[in-house]
Amino acid sequence: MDKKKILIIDDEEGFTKMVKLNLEETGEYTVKIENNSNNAFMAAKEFKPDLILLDIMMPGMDGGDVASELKSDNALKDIPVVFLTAIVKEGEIDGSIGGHPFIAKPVSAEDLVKHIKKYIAK
Amino acid sequence: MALKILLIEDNPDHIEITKRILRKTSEDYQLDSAMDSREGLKMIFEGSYDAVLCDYRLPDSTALDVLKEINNKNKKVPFIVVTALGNEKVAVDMMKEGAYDYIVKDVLYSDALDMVIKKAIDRYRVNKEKERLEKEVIKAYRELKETQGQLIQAEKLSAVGQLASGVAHEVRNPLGIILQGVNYLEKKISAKETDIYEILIMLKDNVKRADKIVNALLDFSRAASLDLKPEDVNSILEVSISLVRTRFKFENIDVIMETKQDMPSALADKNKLEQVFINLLLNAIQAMPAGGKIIIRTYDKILEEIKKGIGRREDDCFRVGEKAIIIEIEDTGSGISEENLKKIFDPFFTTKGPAGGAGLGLSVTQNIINEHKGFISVESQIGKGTKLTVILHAAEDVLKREG
Repeated sequence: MDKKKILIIDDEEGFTKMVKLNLEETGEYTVKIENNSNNAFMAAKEFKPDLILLDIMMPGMDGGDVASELKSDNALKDIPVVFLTAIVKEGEIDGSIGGHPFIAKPVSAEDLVKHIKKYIAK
Repeated sequence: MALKILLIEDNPDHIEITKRILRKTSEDYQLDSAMDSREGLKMIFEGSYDAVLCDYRLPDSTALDVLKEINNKNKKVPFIVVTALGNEKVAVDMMKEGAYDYIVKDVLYSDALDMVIKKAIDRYRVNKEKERLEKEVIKAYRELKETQGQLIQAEKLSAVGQLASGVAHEVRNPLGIILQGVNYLEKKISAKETDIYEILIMLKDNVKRADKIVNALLDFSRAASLDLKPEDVNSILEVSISLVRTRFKFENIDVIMETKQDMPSALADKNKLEQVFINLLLNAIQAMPAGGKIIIRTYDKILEEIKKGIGRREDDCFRVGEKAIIIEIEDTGSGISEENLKKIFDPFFTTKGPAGGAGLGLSVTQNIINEHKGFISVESQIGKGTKLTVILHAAEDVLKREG
């Protein structure tokens, strides 16, 4: 079975590194990290991920800007985007920000995989 | 309009002279007369005179007695003493008692009477206006102080809100890293390394603990959007009471329910209101370490009196004539000092010491009630107890207003 490709866009280097280790440890995913939100669009273009994990509060372009930019591109607009955020807690705003689902930080590796599977399946 | 004057005088000749003098003036006077103090006082209390002229010596008493009786009954009227020649000292003493002026029965009586009456009426009007203005200034000052207090409170909460969001972001990100790191290590250690495994569990538990603290801080700082629906406050109270019932038994507290049946619905967020009632009940329990009573009252009321937040202006929380749903929770505990009452809704204010809590309970409660555009107030007496009153909008009024 082909590994699913996950792009994680988050300025927290420690967090992205840990997520990559955990997801790749499962043997089901290939993860690309982008810590600079200004490069997010190009990273998505090159990597062609199956799902994008996107932080909201980042220096430079924030998560909302990045999501709009991705949506404006025909090749990228159908890739599921899941927000990662430290500002809301789970269940607080009906599980959706601007039409995209969100995962509240801190999230365990196990829960993260569950969320990813659910959103890729959709 | 004619100026109504009452003359209390037992000498009919003097009454006649006074009538003639006043008739000659350019002013339109209407003079009534009384022959003694009893009749005079009756006329003063039953009628409305612009001024009272009173002879010092009356058959049944003196003008001083009349004036004292007027003062006792708190009746305000310009009172002028008429004295016989040489009695000016008495007249001055009377002015100390609150008489507006005096006039001596001498050759100058006819020339001075009109002027003395007018001067007394003017002075009375000025005094009345002064009193009115003083009351207004005091009222305005009080309102200003209240607004200032509210602004300080709002500013504090806004600062706490910003701080909470900042803390949430800055703390949860490292928590996320730690949790993901621990998850990775869990998979990398072998089953026999139980010590390391235990440490990892402990780390995970503490990540949850820190996250819980951040959540509590966020809950406090922003009242999450309310889900307002017509709700029966009595049912919400019952649920809240059932959640703390064991505490009542354990702490030897009797609960007395004085709830009104068939209450109109309040426009409320059920869960948030439940939180409010639980907070208030827990506070009442904590105020009675040796046991006591909690009296819970509910009733509805048409608001008639204009006071803070209740009026006719657009920005008043409640309009006069509107129906309010009122919930009172009263305890027979130790009471709260006047100084502490002022701070009771302040965030982080607590009298319970480090073990008692963060001092956010009543602050969160007030936030929630404010979000309902309602009111919460507190009354307390040291040694007797404390009563918290929550006022909410009746659903029918709000729905009617919003069409």
